Amino acid sequence: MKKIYILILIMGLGISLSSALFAQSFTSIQYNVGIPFGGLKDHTDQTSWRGMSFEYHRAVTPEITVGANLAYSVFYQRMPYGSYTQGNATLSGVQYRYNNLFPMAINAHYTFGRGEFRPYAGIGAGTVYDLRNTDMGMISFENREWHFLICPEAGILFSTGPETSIKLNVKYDNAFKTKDADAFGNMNINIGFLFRGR
Amino acid sequence: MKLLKILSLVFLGLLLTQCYPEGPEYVDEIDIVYTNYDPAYNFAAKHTFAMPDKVMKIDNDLLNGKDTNFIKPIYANVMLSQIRQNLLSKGWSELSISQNPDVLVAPAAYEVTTYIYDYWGYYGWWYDGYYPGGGWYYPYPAVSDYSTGSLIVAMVDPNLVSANDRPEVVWTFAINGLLEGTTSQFNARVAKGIDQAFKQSPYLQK
Repeated sequence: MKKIYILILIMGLGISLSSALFAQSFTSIQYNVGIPFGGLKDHTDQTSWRGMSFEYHRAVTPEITVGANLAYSVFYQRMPYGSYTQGNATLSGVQYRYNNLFPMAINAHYTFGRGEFRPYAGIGAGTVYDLRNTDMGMISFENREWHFLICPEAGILFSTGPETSIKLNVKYDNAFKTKDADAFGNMNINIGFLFRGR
Repeated sequence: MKLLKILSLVFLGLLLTQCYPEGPEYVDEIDIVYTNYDPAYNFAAKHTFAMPDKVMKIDNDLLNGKDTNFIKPIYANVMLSQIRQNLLSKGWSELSISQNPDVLVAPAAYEVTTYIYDYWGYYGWWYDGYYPGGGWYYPYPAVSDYSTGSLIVAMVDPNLVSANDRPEVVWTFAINGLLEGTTSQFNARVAKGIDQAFKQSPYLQK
């Protein structure tokens, strides 16, 4: 865990230094599709088609950029009519399950080459806020949890002009276990625009 | 390019707000059935029950010590009949209360209305005189409401008295749902809920 905090600190320092040393910035806005794993899949095991992310980076070297990523995804699943027993009590009905995920991370990317197609790989660290609701009848059971987050990613930038690119990437949000909640994963497949600026 | 950025943000924002999952579409998808029982109670040794011919209404009159009100027979008869049929089909026998049955089955029901209330919509009496043209208005109804109903059935053993001098509840079930639809639709949902309560209580089987 200590190493992870050092990693976040280095990335944070990188952002500050890059603002001073290099002028180029990269802003991207993407539509996200999410595939659940682990504890998330146990609650809602269907693909999320509702998500978006925003990222701002600055160049540290011509190949390396550092910045921050904010995202939002909502997972939903309607369970068929069923019975749920705890102790001597049983509750039957249709369950509606929702997971609202808000990952936020500081991250770094390494871009390969300088052509029209530029593959890149990166890693980030931060936190993800998980707002989890299970609705049954007029009752809603709600859990809120902050998880520590590590998020490796890889993608391609397809240049569409001197200042814009189409950005396609895959990011895996690996949320660590907490005292009250299981670890989970969210495989994001993202597409959107990247804008270069000064 | 700035315009493209703004359009991208607006597009994604709209996409998310328009596509948020909504949940239940039909009234019966909100119906729930709850059961609980005393695991120490020997249901296998009990065979007879008695039940009233009315369903008590839990309302303000009851809570304020006034006369007891009852659910309309058009609804109550379905509730009582369905409970009776389920008990008989599980091997229980019905007795009158004077014949000293093993357990008493006591149904009661209540209704709760929840108001979604936008109180600013009612302040016209106060601000209308101060704003030209009668002030502003809300483009949607200021008040809406929904009513939920619950049927609660307690099985008590009159021979078991708890510390507060009341018969102990050995089994209970509750059905909760929206009070919507025609009488026949409502009664069908209630009957289905009662059947489910017995289905998820296998310890009642003789």
